[in-house]
Amino acid sequence: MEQALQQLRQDAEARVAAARDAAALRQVEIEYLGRGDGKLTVLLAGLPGLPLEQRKSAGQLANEVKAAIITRLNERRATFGQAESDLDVTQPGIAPQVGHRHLVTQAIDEITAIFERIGFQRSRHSEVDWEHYAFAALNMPADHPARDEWETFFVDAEPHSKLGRRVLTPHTSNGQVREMEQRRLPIRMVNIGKCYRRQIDVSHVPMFYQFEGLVVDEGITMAHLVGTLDYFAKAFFGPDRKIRIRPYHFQFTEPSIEIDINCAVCGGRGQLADGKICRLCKQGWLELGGAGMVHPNVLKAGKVDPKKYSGFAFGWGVERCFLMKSGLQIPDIRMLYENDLRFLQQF
Amino acid sequence: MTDGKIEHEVVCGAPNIEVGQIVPFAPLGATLRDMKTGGSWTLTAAKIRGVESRGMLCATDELGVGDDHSGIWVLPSGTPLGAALEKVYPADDVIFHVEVTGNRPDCMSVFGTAREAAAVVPKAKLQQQKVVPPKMQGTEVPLTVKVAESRLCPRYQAVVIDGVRVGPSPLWLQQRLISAGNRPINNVVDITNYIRLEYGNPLHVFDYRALAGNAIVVRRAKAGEKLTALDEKTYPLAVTDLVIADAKKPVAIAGVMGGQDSAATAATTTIVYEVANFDPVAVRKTSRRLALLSESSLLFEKGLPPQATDAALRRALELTLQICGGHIVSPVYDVKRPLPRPKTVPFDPVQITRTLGVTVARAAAKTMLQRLGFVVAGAKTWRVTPPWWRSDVLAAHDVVEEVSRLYGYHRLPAQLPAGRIPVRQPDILLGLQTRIRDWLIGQGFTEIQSYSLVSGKLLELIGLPTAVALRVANPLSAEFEYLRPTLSASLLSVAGQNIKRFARQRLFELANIYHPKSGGLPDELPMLALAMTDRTDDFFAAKGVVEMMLLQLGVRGLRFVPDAAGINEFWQPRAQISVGSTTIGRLGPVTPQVLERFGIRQPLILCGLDLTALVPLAHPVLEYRQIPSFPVSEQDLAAVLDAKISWQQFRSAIVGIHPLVRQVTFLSAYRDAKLPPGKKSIACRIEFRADDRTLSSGEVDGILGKVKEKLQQQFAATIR
Repeated sequence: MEQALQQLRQDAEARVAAARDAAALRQVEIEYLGRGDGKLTVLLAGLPGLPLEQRKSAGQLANEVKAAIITRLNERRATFGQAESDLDVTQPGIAPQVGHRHLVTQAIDEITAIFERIGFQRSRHSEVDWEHYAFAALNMPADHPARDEWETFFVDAEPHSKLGRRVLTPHTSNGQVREMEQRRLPIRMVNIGKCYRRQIDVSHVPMFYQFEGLVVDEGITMAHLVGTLDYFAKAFFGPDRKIRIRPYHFQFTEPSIEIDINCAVCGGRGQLADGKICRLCKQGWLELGGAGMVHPNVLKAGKVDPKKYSGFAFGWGVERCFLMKSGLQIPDIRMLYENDLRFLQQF
Repeated sequence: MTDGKIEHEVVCGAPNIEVGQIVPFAPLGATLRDMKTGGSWTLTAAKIRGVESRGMLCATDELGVGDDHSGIWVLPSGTPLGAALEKVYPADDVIFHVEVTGNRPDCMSVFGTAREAAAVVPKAKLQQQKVVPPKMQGTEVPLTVKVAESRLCPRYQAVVIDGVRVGPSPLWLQQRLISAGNRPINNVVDITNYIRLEYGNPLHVFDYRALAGNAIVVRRAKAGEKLTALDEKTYPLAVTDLVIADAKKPVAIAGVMGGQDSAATAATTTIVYEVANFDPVAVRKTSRRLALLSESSLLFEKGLPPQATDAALRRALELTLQICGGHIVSPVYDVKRPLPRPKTVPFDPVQITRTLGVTVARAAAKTMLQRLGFVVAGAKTWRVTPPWWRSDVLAAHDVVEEVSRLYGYHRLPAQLPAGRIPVRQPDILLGLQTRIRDWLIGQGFTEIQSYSLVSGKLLELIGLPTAVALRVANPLSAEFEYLRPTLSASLLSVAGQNIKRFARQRLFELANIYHPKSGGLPDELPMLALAMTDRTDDFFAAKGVVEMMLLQLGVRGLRFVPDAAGINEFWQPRAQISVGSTTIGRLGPVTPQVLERFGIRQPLILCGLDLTALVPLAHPVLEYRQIPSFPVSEQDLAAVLDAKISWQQFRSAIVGIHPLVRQVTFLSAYRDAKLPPGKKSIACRIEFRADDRTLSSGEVDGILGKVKEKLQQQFAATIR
């Protein structure tokens, strides 16, 4: 019996080596290991007739032989590459129902995460607020021409004797004094919320989001503002991007600046390789938004002592930053709020 | 027309064309700019009103030198006939576009920009233009100048010039105006605009003969007074408006626009120049009230220094005598209040370091301020006096900004704020919204974001009166008139807009709704709205989503209570979603007639959840329950009973019967013709399990027997 087993192993191994393809290999497998009339099975059928001692050792050997043949089969099969099967893997998979996060939410999530890494916490403030918080507390008294820069919506209701009319916040900066009034210093907040302005065209929507950063603490300097914005720009747009700072004017910050980022399309040259003017930026830089050191009058309006504390603030458009970053080339910002599923389900 | 050699027959319909003018002529074959496309086109002969026109007289925009299309460009007399335009008109100029911030009206002119540049650019030097002081010549003509409202008009200068020849300006002047976006009109008007661009102080010119009583009075308008301005529109004046009047009537709206009747025209020979200073708030209020913005009002409303009028007037006189001829026939009237003295600011240079985070050498900082025209006195702490044109500098932080600008923001190091990171409780609502959003997106829902401003019509479509919503006082259009008091209307509108392409939709939105509150700010209520629609009714699928989501959010004790009160034109029978006694939301199909209004002709299930109510209930609970060591025994049971018995009643009857009954799961419920009338069949699976042993079939059968007995007694059920 043992001899027969050894012989069978040799034969089988030779046949495996000679097999030219997966089909031939399968043939060998059936011939030797097939359950009904495979040669090994047939041979082992004679096992019960043997004396106990021989039966034991032959059984052991039979297992070894079987394992060896399977190993050879597998080794040989692997050399043919893919195992043959009638499974058509090119047929499409069964798609699960896939959900879609709105692009603006994606942007908000990303912005929040970037600021959370440097200790900013997200806060929320009113979307409909008093004129006081939207303007007067921000160093813009009634009739100040700076108020014209925001095309503001007003609510049709009787004004408050002290706080003025109700406005649909034209910026998230109303959150500055509101946050200070909570009397919890230091402040490191990022307030992301809906804003409203009386504008609608390819690059303006009457409702949009801003993210407002505010830091108030002892010893806060303009270098901290530059550092924070530089960090954000690199984290959001990419580590090789550069920012540029221009002097600017806002009533609620002093000094005030505007921040530009170098254009990713033309590399900040304003010109493409073929000498044509870059269509995205036209001059190498793209405007990100405004920022500055919190004006002492704003700190006072928030009951914060400007002699002891200083701070910086910035308020930028979420959609604008996101569209500048993504390179999606969405031709019309209004598409974000049209909710065409053919658009939303692309992302 | 003639080009000096040949006569051409040209048909021209421009309103300003007159015999004797010298104008640009484009002959046949000329290439002209296409105003609509910005491209170009070639001129060919055309028949206009039956006459063949061979060539064209041009406006500035057609030639690409300006953007005026109101009339043919009239060139000054003396322009050589037949000369190529580019030979007499220097068109290849460099134009700088400078964006000046609203706080710096002192830079809103060529001179002001140069003055600032001289301070900012190292080694640059400012060369002031020398202007000859005016001298009266000839016989003085009478003029009285009176300022009745000196607070609103701190300074008013006027002078009369006689013998001027009004006509087109020389080409260099026209070219500069056109390059700066202004439209040449005639030489005296052009001079006022030119000086405004050069010096940043608006001027106005009157026809002396049009001033009744040879008088100029700066006063408030009287009730009922009106003025037809240079834009040919008539403006009703209010008693708060400041006007320039003659002895009888207003002749100009102060600082905003002059009147048509007193304008200098081709017939004018004697003119009065006005160079004045007006109160910014007064100009702004009038200009806003009349919705009349002008280059002049935009400058005045920023606040100009009264010191600026003098140089502007002298320059105007110089240019006028040079270009229009004539001679000065009056003294220079100068009615003014004492000129304001710039405020001296006590300044500790340490504030620069405190603000910037870097040290700027004191000497360097001082030089920067001096280059900007500031006077710096004192040693340890300074007394800084801004120049008269810098009324925007009021306090120490303004001085810091001046130094910062000149030092250069690009030189500041990028540092992250040091100091303690404030640790606060995370915002629970934001956290809940994130969990909801993530879960729904995982279930194949698409998030939408729609405008919180909606139309009254949209609210009507879902049967809501607009009175429940906040109205915007100055909406952009009827489409954005109300702050939405519900998310449902927006969601239905989105579903309807997509229904032709997507029969199966799963949508949600997380946003605030707004409820008016008398005397205060509106309530901003965070909501979740979700919609599911398919060709077949999805009620139980929607319920399953909401149920599982709330369970995952940690809500316990959730109940769906029939909400008969909710049945109306909008909702079909729906469920209130409750926890204990709190209602957190509603779920149900929208009626076909409402869906029809949105173009939806298939079932749609809507669910609204009030996140304010949900916040205290949605605890992310982590709880461990021991994994059972002994097997569960399952028994299915079906009963026929009164159709009015709810699943919840049926289930409660079984659950409490024995502690070994661990779970009762719904399998099916149906009514059909084979059942007795008014009856339904309910099938369920009951799980029996003990914690300490494997249950014997006898034990299970015993309990099952009790269950059947109870169902028979309580509901008169037939067990099948």
